[in-house]
Amino acid sequence: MAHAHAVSIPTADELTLKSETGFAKLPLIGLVVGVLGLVLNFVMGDHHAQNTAYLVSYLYFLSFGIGAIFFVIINFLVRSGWNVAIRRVAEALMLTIPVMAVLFVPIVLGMEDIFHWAHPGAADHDPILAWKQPYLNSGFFIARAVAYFVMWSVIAVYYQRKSVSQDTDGSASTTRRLQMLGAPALLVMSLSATFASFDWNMSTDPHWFSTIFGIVYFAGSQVGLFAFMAIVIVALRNGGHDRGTMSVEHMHGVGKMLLGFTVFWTYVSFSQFFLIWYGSIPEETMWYATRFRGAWRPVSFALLIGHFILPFFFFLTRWTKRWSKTLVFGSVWLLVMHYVDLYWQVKPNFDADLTLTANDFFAFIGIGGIFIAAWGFAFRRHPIVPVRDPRLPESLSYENL
Amino acid sequence: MAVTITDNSNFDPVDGRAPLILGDDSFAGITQAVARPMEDPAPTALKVVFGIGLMLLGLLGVSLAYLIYKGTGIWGLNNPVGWGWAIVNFVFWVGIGHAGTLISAILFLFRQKWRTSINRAAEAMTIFAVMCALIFPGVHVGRVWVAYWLLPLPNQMAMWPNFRSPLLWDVFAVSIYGTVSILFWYTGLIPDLATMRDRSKGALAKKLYGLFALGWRGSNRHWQNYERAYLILAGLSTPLVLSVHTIVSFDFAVSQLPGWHTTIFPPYFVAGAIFSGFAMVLTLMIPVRSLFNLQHIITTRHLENTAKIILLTGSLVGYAYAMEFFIAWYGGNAYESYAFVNRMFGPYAWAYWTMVSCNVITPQIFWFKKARTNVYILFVASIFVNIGMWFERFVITVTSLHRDFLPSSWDYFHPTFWDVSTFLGSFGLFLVMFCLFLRFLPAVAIAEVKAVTPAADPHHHPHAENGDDGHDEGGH
Repeated sequence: MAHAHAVSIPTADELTLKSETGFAKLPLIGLVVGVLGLVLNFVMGDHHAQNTAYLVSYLYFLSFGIGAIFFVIINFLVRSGWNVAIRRVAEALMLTIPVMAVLFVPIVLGMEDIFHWAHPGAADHDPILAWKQPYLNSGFFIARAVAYFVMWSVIAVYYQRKSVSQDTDGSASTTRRLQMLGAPALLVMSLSATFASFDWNMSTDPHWFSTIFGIVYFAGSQVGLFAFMAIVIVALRNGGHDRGTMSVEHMHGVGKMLLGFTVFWTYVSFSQFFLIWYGSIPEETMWYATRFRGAWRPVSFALLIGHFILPFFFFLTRWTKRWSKTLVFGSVWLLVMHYVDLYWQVKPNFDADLTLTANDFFAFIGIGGIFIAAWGFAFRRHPIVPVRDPRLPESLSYENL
Repeated sequence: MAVTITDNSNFDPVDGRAPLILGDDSFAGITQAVARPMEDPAPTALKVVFGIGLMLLGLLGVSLAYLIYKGTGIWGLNNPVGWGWAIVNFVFWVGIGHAGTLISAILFLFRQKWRTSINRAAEAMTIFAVMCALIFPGVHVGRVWVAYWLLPLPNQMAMWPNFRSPLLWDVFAVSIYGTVSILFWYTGLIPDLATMRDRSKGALAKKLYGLFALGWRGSNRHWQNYERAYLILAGLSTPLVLSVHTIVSFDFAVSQLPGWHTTIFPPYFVAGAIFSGFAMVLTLMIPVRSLFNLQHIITTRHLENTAKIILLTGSLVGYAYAMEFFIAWYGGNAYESYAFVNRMFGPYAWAYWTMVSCNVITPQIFWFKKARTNVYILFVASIFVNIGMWFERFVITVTSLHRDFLPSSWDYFHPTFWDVSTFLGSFGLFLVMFCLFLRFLPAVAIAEVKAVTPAADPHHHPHAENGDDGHDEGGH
């Protein structure tokens, strides 16, 4: 089926990041920036600005880990070959989930401020909130969050551990086991990620609801994931760290996924908007009404143009996905748009007027720093390519004809 | 031929990708296997099915003639239920078509080479399903003789259709879908039509196959143009897999009716369409492969992959049901909650539970490899899914309508003889078309199947295939 073009597989040692490389310094740099950012976020501004900025950045950086778990389990499930050489990038991303679980603590602490429904007495004069109390109450909310993080962490750590164990034994039965577990893991992930997006994102406007909301978050997380992976792959190639294992073909593959999920994000986001706009039922349209007023209006259009029209035409042709510079440009662009998307989803529920605060920046570099540190730490600990994965030869000879 | 492999369902790709074609995978052998059934006298079973199809087609003709004579009053429509079986049947048939397009377009872009054994028949299924689907909106307009008003044709009366109506978008979506599907199917057929031209003995057959083969000689240049056209058509068809059923879902979801208006409808309808289409692929291909002795081309592994897609899309449909229910409660809208409670426990509870048993519970059997590789289980399960998906559309349409906002106008929908006869009649059209297809066109894409055999691989070394330890050697 696939044809090896005499790509020899480097040793595990050659594929382990050396301590003098920039990648190996990420944990330290990330940690310093992260702690600084978090401290600044919680020192500056008022509680409201601190908490809401924190939530947006949290959902943003969380999405990479969730997206990565989906990527890894789906690729095992469908017995895909092409992804193997670049899978470690995603495996390290999966391990940011336990760290994100710790970073969830400030959200629990700021819950009363962030979630209107959690405000004591909020349900007393609001029959809709009273109706939702069996679901939207602090105790159950925290219990669900714990359950999500346990499920995600178990899947993430298990898949990563098993993959690493293959580096020494090259056991084919490991691959078989991960394949078999892919289907139940996917089921668990789909439901838990959906309800997490309801809990942490949709319930910031507790009156509003949309059945497609979980899929919108999933689609965005995939866009973020592939943009991140594309940048890392190019950086690894430029530094020669991959020793020739990651090719232009893998860049192209990731670029295609990026294009595909950009379209998918548009499809589900537009479906949500369009049906609500057309139906024009007040309890639903109010969500979009806020986003089409004042300074939010241009942001809504910026999303349409920046998260769909431009990247779609940009990545439609072959060469933009195969040339490092264009691939990185488009990926950085989409990483920004992914943030804008989440900012636009969450922030108007708190502030009817668009007000960028310093907290937005500090929370971003705060959580982002810790996230990068966690990713960098996980990534440098093991060979950056699963050297003895039975499908690695197939991945190395992957071609986009 | 070194070794003849007779079972590829147990190959684990970790130990090397399994061959797609079993038994005689020589080019001549494949042509022979596919073309023979068309050249031999038609098997009795095919004649019987064709006969049944003709009778049902006759029933369709009578039903439609009477409908045009009398009007839609012959159906069971009543005051709250103004949309009955016609829309249910339309959505049912359009949905079935989606598997063909997914197999031919999306699986092509995803390089799923196993698609080659089933794509031809699945695409034929798509086209015939679209034909059946188009009957219903066509006759539902009541005054069939002015059905062309559906199209925005310039005319003196300035009868413009309402561009804000999703029903009009349906006209565009489905007609584009039908057109592109036919083009795609025909493009793929060209090399095989040439094969049939070269093989056929009768002068008329030679002429006709030759006419439609467009002078295909299999030259390098022909192949290059062909491959390019195929890729472009695959690219064009891919959005259609999503767009058609998305717009069909808009027919319901743009309204404000509880049970219809929900944001998950577009992807949920698409997943359901693929689900029902793959079930129909199994329903058709299981008998066809044994009737035409194609088990070595449409192997158990192909059926197993189909079953896996059914499990996946069935679960997606289950996910959508779950989201609808959760949000119906979470949204706190009394009418929305009522619509869903009414579905489960109201007068149509029987239809609802039929739908859930067929669509959500039945496919769960495909978690087990034994079920995925047993043709009898596959066949029975596929029938259940077909039934379940018809009921899904029935549940969505009728249960949401029959109890409207004014309790005094609540009513129960009873189908009449003509509702049933028109629906059964549409199966007649489908069966007749499909039997004709099996008789006169290659049911398997001969040229495409050849391309996935080891012999077509330029790096092919007859004895280096599937090394026992695929662990650390570089591909083959």
